[in-house]
Amino acid sequence: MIRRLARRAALAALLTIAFPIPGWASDRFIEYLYIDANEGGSSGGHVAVRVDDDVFHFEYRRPGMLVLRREPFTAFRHDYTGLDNRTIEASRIPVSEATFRLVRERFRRRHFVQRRQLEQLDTLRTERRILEQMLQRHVDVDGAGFFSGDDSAPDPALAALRQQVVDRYGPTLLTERAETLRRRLAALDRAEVPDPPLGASVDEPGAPAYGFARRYRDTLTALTALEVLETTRPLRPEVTITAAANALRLDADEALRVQRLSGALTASLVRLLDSPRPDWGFPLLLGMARLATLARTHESGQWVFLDAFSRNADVIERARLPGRPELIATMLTDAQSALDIARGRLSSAVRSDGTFDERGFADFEEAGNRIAEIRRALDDGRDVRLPYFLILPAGSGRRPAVLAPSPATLVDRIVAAREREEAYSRVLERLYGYQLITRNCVSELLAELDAALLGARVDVDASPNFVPALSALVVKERYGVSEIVRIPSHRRARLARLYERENALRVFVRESNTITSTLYWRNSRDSTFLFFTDDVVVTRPVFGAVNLVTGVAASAVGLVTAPFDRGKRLRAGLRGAFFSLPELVFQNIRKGSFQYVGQAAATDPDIWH
Amino acid sequence: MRGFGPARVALVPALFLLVGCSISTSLSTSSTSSQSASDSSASSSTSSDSSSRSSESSSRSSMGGRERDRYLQDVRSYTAANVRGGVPLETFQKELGELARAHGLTHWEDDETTYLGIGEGLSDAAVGTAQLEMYKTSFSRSDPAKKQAIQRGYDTR
Repeated sequence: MIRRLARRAALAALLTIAFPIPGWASDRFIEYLYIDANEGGSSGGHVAVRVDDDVFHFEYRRPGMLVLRREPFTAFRHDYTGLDNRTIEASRIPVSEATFRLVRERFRRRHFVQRRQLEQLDTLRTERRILEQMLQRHVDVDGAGFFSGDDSAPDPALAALRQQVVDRYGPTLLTERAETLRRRLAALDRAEVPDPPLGASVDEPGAPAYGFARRYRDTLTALTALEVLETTRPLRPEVTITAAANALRLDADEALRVQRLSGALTASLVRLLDSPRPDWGFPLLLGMARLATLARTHESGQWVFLDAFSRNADVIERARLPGRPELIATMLTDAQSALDIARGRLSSAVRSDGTFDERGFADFEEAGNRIAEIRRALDDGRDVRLPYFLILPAGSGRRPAVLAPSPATLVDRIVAAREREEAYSRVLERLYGYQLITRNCVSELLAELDAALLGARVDVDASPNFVPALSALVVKERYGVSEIVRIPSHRRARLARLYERENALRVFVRESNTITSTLYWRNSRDSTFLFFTDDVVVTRPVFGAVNLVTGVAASAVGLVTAPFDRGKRLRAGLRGAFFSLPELVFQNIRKGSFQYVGQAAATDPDIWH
Repeated sequence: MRGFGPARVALVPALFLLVGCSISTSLSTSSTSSQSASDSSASSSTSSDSSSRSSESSSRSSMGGRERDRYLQDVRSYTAANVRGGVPLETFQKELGELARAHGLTHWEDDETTYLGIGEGLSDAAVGTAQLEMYKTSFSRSDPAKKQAIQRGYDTR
C-alpha cells in the first residue's frame, strides 16, 4: 500500500514537471482507444492511440513480433467498428501543444524506424526469392503480364509512342539501350552483394541496400519494357476491365479529355526513357498499358481500365447477390461517389505544364474498376470482388532469365541470402518479440505513453495492465482522462436507430438472431451461431446455450461435409461452440462481422457519451 | 452500452487464455503468391497482395490532400535518413521508387510533392548550402521547377 502511494506521489511529481502549462490550457488531446473483443484476430480486445488523424497500434505478426502500425483514423474506424463490428471506447487525455507534438513525433519516429527495418527484412527475402527464380531459369517481372506474345498484331497507341521516341532520341535508341542493358546484366554477375545488416535498434533505422538480385530484375524489367515498345505488342484482354454502364460512358468533353490524357502520358513516357532512375522499366510498362487502355476507351466510347483487383480479393458469390440488394446498392453508391469525385479531378489530370497527373488518373482508374466490377457482376452473373484490395495494377508475368550466373554460383548465393535473411529475422524478433504478458500491444503502447507523457516508464510489476480490457482503467488513473466516449460497432449503431424508429419488441425479436436479422448477413469468416449476445446481458446465458447447441450441431454436419468443403463447416461449427462458452457465464466475445460496410458508416456521427 | 463497463473485470481470467492483441493480417510483402513481383518495401499494399484491409499507405481511394501529405511525410523521413546515412544516390532513387509505388505513384519524377519532400528531408538532415545545391542538381536534373520545389521544401522546415 505504501509502495503504491509512493508511486502515485512520484507520478504526481512527474506530472508537475512534465506539464508546466496545464494540459487543459490547450485544445489538444490524444485518445487512448480500447477496441472490444471479437472472435478471430483479437478475442482479448485491442488498444491503440489516436494522435490527430493518426492511429498507432501494435499488432502481433507471425511468428512472434509486435509491429507498430500507423493508419488514418477513418480507415481504422472503418475496419474495426465497421467490418469487425467492434465498439471503440476512446479515453480523451488533454495535453498541451508541446506534449501533443512530443507524443506524435515519438510514435512517428518509432513507426518509421521499425517500418524501415521490416522493409530491409523484406528486401533480403526478395533477394533470395529472385535468386531462386533465376535458378529455375525464369523471373517474375512486373508489367510483363500486361502484354500479349510477340506474334500479336501491333497496338496503334504503342506504335505512336514508339514513333515519338524515335523522333526525340533517334532511330537507334531502342537497340542501343537494349544492348546497354544486356551488357549491364552480364556485368552484374561480378557485382558485390551488399553487406547484411549487422544489427538493429528501436532508435535507428538501418540503411537500405540495393543488391544483386533486385538489380538483375530491374534490368530485366527495363529490357522487357524496351521489347514491348519495339514490338508494340497489344494488351492481353484479361488485364482490362470495363462494363456497359452509363457511368462509364464517354461524353463529347471526355472524349477530348482522353486525347489530352494520352498526349500527356505519351510525353511522360518519352521523358522516362531518359531517366537516370534504375527502376524505370515498370513505370514504362504500366504507362504503356494505360496508354493502350486510353486508346481502347477512345475507340469504344466506354471507359476501359487496367484491372486493379488483387488475385486474392474476397468475393460475394453470385448466388448470394439477389438476396442482398441493399448491400449491392451501398457498394454502387460508394463507387459512384468515388467516381464522381475522381472524375472532377480528372479534368485537371493534365497539369498546366502539360505533364500527366498520375495520382488523379489512378484515383479515377480505381473508382472505375469498382463500378465496372459491380455492373459486370450484375449483368453477367459473376461473383463480385470486394473493393478492399485494389492495388496499383502490377501485371506480373514470367520471363526467361537471361545472362544469369551459373547454377553453382546461384546456389551459393541462395545459401548466403537465406543465412542473411534468417539472421536479420532473428535480430528483429529479439528486438520486437511478442510476449503474452510482458510485452504485448498494451505494454508497448503504455511504455511509449509513459515516456512521452511522464518522462519515464512506470513500473507495472505483477499488474494486470497487459489485458486490453483493463488497460483503459490504468490510463484513466495514470494520465488524467477528461472524457470517455464510445463509437458503437456497426451493428449496434444501426440497431439503436431501429429502436428509435420501430417497435422495440419487434426489433429485438427480429434482430436478435442471424436468420431474421436485417442488419447482419452471414460472413463466411464468422463462426456458426444463432443469437447475438453483445447487446443483451440477462438473456446471454440462454442465448449462449442455444449458440453452443448450434455450434455442436454444425460441427456434426461439418464432419460429414468435410471431404467436400475442406472442413470449412466443421471449423465454423467448432469455433461457434467455443465462442459460446463465455456467453454461458454472461460474457461476450463474438459479435459477427461484415464483408462490406459503406463508406458513410465510417464517418457516422454516432458517438455515445 | 450494456455489458461494457465493470463486467469486463470478470472477463480477466478468460482473457489470460486469449490473444490480447490484434493479429496482423499484413502478410509479408514479397510473398511468392503475390500479384506483383515488385520489392515490397514501404507498404504492404501496392507491391503485393497484402490481406490487410487498410494497410499503411495503401489506400488509392483517398489520393486527396491527406494521402498527398502522407507521401510528403514519407519522402521527407526517408530523405533525412538516407542523407544522414550517406546512402548512394542510385539506392536512394530505387527506394524512392518503391516508396512512391506504395502510394500508388510510379512516375515520381513528375510529381512536385516528391521534390518538396526531398527539400524538407534535406532540411531535417541539416545539410549545408553546398550539399543542398548538390542534391538539387542531382534530383532535379537542372529542371528549374524541380529545383525550386526542393528549395521551397527546404525553406519551410
